[in-house]
Amino acid sequence: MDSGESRQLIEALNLCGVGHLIVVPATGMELVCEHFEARGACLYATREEEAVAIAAGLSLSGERAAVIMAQAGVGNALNAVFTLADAYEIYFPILVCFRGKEDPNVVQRVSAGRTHLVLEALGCAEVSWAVPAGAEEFKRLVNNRQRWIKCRL
Amino acid sequence: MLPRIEALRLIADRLGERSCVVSPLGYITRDLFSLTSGARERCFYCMGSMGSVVPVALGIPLGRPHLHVFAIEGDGSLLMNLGALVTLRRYCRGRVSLLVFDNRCYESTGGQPSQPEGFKLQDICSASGLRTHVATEAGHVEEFFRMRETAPEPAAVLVVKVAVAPPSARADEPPDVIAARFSKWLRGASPEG
Repeated sequence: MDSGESRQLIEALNLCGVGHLIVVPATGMELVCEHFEARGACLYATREEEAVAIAAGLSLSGERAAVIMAQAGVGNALNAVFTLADAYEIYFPILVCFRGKEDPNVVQRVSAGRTHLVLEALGCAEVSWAVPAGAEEFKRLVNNRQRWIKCRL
Repeated sequence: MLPRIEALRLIADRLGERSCVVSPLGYITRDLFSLTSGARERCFYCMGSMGSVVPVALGIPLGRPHLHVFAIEGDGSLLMNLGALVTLRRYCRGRVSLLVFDNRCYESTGGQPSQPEGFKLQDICSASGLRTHVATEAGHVEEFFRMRETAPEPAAVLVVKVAVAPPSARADEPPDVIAARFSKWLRGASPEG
């Protein structure tokens, strides 16, 4: 994600009132993380299920949170999403960073191909940060309680 | 060793205007549910997502820092997500008291052993930099609660050695009802108590 796209995503998160970002570090999100870190609102989780559960606790307490993870972590997150966030109807968006077929790591290209199908089955939406309307589109999705949102890097 | 239900009763009796509890799936939540009919709004009963109690409990005081959160985990669930101890130490604000019910087995799936011979769960918690105590009788649990009233650390651990025992009936409420009631209470809980 270049600096312009990162600024768009930061604007989108701010537009939605996201108070805390829960991140399992993903390539391309450095500027977004730094922005939230500067205000003491970025937490790094040790794995994706943990990130989902922290966001659930925050959401229960009335805070808006968002989770960011790499596509390789989607499988790790599913049990917590299904049996905690979805089953208890606790809403927060999950942004999945996707490098797809361009990923320089061949193993991640295989993973991306499979994960793409999983996300499709889960009704994942996609926002383009290369266009000025990206932030507004993100806000619309969050207002509609869209759980999975793909960010193509 | 303490009977599980007795240890849970000590926690249920401790729930006040400024405290709440998060419990893990399995027999612990079933027993806690049977003991907390008068305090449902302060209880988040997890019926899935094994290993998620500590991170859920961590998230609550980030939004409501005046609350004291009791996080109850089983030894098997904690082992499923040991990284949560590190994250708890790193980010805990407010007050989280983690009570690990250690029966050394996966009781609800048939009692399969959860730990090797001589393994001490409290050593893992302590090595994570969290102040850790061990309880083998009711007095130890009460002492831990007294200490937590004034302790400066945001997070601390009590490993409670519990005995295997038959569970109470399953919680018979839909999860969305449990979450909505708990969230409503959290949002309304006054910082003044």
